[in-house]
Amino acid sequence: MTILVGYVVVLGGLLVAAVWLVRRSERRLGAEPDAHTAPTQPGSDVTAEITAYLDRMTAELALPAADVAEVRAELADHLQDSIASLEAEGMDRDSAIREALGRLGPAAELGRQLRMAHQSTRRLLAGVGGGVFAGGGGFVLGYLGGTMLALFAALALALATPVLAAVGLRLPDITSGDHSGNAVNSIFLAVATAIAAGAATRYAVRTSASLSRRTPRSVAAFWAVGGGLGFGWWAIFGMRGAQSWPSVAIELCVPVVAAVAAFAGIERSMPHVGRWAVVAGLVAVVGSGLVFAVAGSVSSSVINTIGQQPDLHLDSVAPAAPTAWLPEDANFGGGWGSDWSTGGTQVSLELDPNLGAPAIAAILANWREVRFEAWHALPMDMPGLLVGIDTRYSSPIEVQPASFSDTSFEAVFHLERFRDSGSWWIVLTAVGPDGHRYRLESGMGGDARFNGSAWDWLTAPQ
Amino acid sequence: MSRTDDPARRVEALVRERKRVLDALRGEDLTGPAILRRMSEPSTAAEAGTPASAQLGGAAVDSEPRDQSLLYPALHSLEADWRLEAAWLPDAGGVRRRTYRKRRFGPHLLGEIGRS
Repeated sequence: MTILVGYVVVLGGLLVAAVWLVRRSERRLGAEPDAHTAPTQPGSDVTAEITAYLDRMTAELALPAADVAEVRAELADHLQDSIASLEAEGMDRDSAIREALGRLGPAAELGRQLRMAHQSTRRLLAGVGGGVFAGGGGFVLGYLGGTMLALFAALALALATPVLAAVGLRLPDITSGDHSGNAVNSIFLAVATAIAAGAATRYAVRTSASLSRRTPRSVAAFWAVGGGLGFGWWAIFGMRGAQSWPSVAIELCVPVVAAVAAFAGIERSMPHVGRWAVVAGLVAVVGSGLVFAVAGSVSSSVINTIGQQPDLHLDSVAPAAPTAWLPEDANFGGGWGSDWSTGGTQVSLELDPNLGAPAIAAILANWREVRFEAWHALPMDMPGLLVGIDTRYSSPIEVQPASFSDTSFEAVFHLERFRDSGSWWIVLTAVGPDGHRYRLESGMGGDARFNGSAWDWLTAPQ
Repeated sequence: MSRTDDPARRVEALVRERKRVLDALRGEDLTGPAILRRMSEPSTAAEAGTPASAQLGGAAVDSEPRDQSLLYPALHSLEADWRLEAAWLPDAGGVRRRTYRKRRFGPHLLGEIGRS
């Protein structure tokens, strides 16, 4: 609990710091300089000649708007001071203006010098670091916003579907056959990730532009490449979990979203994010997480109810082993569970150790090519239905050789790497002395859901 | 201050200008024109080792405020390097002017500590 509170405090602090940095940067990039710092208009004595000079100088500056305004105001002030001094020395006004402008040198050269002065290496490094930091904050905010958006969209869809159905318009059901909610969950995650990647890239561009004293467009290409590669890699290869065709399609668009977000309307200010927006986002995400957790616990309680089963159709896999080669008292015990090191499903069947080592050795001598076979099974996540081998399939999903140690046969399956493995039944088989394959044990059943990246989904076997 | 098209000479001139600006500022808050006037004082020019008659690459190095082309690049680059801080402060007449002062703490302190 203490660690959780620590995480929340640290991450919350970092998020607040990132939002503060972004808002500070937005002021610098804004069209007007900060009202508390620079005067918004140069003095009233500024002549057309001075304005033209400042315009030529400004054309070379390529700095954020607030910096441009500050430089113009400062130079206008300097010129007015200089002209007044020259007039006090007896020079007429036109000559004083020309002399004051001449002392500052060519406008374009002054603009270039000022640009180089502002865009120092130190500020460039600060821009890169600040951009990464702001990008992290933008990702969190974008994720919150994306989740809220997905929730609202799902709610609107849920409300609109019956209305549309009433007028004879039926929406395509993208979750058909998905009783576990994987498709919906994966689409939520993909939408939130895409929006987060776009927000993060925009935050990074504008914050780094402000800190490095560059225009957003001049640094956009760097962040478009970085954001596209970074978020693209994460969305396609790094982000693991439930997948579906719509979610994979959205995740494949993430690099494009990040790259486009770096350029499209990048000179426009980011929307203001107040503290209440962050609070609302947190409430929405935490609330939806609780809803999904409760829904998941309810749905997971109905699976794996085998009950009394008249026929599991196991003979469609292989006939039972003759008692001559596998005595009736040679019982197996065991089951399956998660293999934490690989994320797969570990199955284990142990011969009754009470048989004794000589009897076990005698049984094993009858059998070769012992293996576990995973077959498609009748859906187990539908309460009240029969379970057993789904006889529509003529071949197993996956076959793994059984390793024998001491008294147990073991193997690890990766059914979570198949797109539609769904319910499965694993049977232990082996080749007997007559050269035919027999079923040593009736096996066990379970339900698998795809778990992997978008790339895993695309390259997964059916 | 010098006006030349040679980039190396301009960098050299900018470095000199930065030093003169720092010397002129001492511990006070000054605007650009005030710094310029301070730099024109003989004592400041002498302290900075840039007499009015000095030559730089054949171009006249003018300590008189006739060539002010490097003043603001020097001020802004010193600000970018965290040697100076700037703020818009009201003068006696209430007009806000961009005013510079030396930073007490900054990266330059590391260099000074290293030298000591």
